[in-house]
Amino acid sequence: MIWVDQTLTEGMRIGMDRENVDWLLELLGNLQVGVIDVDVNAWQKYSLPPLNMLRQSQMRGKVSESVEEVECAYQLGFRNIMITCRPNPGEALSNQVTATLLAAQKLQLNIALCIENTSNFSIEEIEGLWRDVSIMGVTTFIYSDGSSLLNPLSTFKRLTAVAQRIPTALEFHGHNAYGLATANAMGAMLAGVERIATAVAGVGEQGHAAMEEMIMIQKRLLGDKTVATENLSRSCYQILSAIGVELPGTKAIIGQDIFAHESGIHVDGVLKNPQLYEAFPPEEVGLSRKLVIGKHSGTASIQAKFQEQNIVLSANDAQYLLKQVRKLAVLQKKAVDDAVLWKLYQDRVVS
Amino acid sequence: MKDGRKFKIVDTTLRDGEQSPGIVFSAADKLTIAMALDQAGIGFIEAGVPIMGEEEQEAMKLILSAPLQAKVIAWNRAFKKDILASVACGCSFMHISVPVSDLHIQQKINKSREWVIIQLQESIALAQSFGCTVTVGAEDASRADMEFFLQVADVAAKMGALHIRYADTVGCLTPVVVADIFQKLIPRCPLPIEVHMHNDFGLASANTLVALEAGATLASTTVSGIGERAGNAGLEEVVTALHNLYGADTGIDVGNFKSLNELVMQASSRSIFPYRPVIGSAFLENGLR
Repeated sequence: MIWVDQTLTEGMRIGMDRENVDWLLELLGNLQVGVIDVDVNAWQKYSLPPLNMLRQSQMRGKVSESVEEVECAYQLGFRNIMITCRPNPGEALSNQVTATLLAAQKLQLNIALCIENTSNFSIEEIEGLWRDVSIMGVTTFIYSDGSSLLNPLSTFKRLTAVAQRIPTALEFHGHNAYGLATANAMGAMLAGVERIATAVAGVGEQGHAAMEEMIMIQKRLLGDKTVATENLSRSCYQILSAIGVELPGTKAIIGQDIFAHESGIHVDGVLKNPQLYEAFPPEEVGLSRKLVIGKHSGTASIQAKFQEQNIVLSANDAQYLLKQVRKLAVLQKKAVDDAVLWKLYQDRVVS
Repeated sequence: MKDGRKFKIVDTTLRDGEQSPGIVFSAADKLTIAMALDQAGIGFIEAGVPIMGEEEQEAMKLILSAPLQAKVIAWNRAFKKDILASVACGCSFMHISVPVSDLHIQQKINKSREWVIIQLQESIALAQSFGCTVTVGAEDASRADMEFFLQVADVAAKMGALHIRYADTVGCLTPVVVADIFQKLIPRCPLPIEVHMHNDFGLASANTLVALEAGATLASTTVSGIGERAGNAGLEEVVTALHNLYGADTGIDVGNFKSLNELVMQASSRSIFPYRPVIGSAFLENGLR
């Protein structure tokens, strides 16, 4: 699979620090991202040095239907380019798009053509569109679901049909207006599409498929055991830091709290066998399990918490502490931390 | 799905949502949230687990005393003490949950399928003896033998349960698998199915929608997707997708989602992730491109 990164694009859109750009590119490299997209206008505004050889092969500059922008991208050192446009369904590409494609071809750029509103086209119209552009050096066609019109099953069907009808590589670029971006990207994967736009934590204007979710879906649900993920949560956390986005604790796959268990039933289950309430072991993404003591705890959780300190708590003591914990949790409207739990215990034992 | 089918939401913000570690709603929070859910047109509100203790029972009583259109549901394990605690709060709508996967039956409670069936029958009968209406939950259904899920559904149907919940407890289903399972399940299941999907791989809303498309009629959701681990299917995602992508009806007013989310986030001491679909600022600022 080739993950096409959208995190840098979003980072620049929301004004990430200039000095973090190199760090971000390095971090994305660690995640084995295949292509890193960046808006050429934004890149220019950041006044970064011209691309070196590594960056030239790694990065792809995004431009709109404008010869000027293509030339600007070339001067900045971009050799891979994405030309985006929104043609009217059923009509030929505009003269401006054609002129932009020609300019890019003249500069011998590697061209990807992105139709932002592909979901508004019938399969026949997409095929028809292709007749216009096949001569202009386009190597990749990007199906963009710009307005999030697809669902997982329609993505699978449409991408299967498109893949059969176009002569170039196919890339899928979905959006997340309804929380379906990851599922749609998975639908495209199952249709045989090997290039998928993703962003860490699904960031982006109108959102994207979350890269960490796609990576773990590939590994866990589609059975590609070769994917390395032990540092996934840390890498993603650092990437979000680089662009200035705070990661929510409960973000699927990478959030710090997704292996925190509080409710009595769940803690009891996880103590017996983590698989009862965990889809995969925390270590697999570099996270760890936590027992949280609070309103939803049961006596087994309290006993397990003290067992961590090699203290064996009687059922009576556990029951007593549980009552105190629940009262306190409701009163302070949050979980009870270890120090407070310890104090409750000492009050009980000493008195 | 443009066949005029109506879908119902069973919102569990106040139960599974609150089970997200660290979240504690006060009784007053719970009442305010329940009223906002009711105002938005949610049909079923799963409001809590009375057996948990006094604080939860107080909150449950407070919600039950409010003049709500929605059915207020108490969550129970298939234990006598759970049912009695709910009855003592004045609950008349009971959800009774049993594990259905062999993994859960053997390793969590160390019992047998037979024990599960008997326990369920006794619990339903007990709840009904107090005049309660019952819905049944099949925990870990996605990792269970489908035949046993159907056996539980048959028992529940014969005893007059309203519907059965199919829970993807660890969020391991994918849309393609859901489509396949529900195509087989729907013609054979004697009860309407409620789907309860978790978000461990980021697929909860998608799995929910695919199940509904395949014939399930109720969706379990939480506001902003709060819940165990990575959470549940988000109310606002499922409902807006049903309306805008599937042309389906839920009777829910999406205009309430913004304030509902602010309310729940405030009561949870959390903030809305800017990239949260439908309600995050990345989606509110520019509208659809």
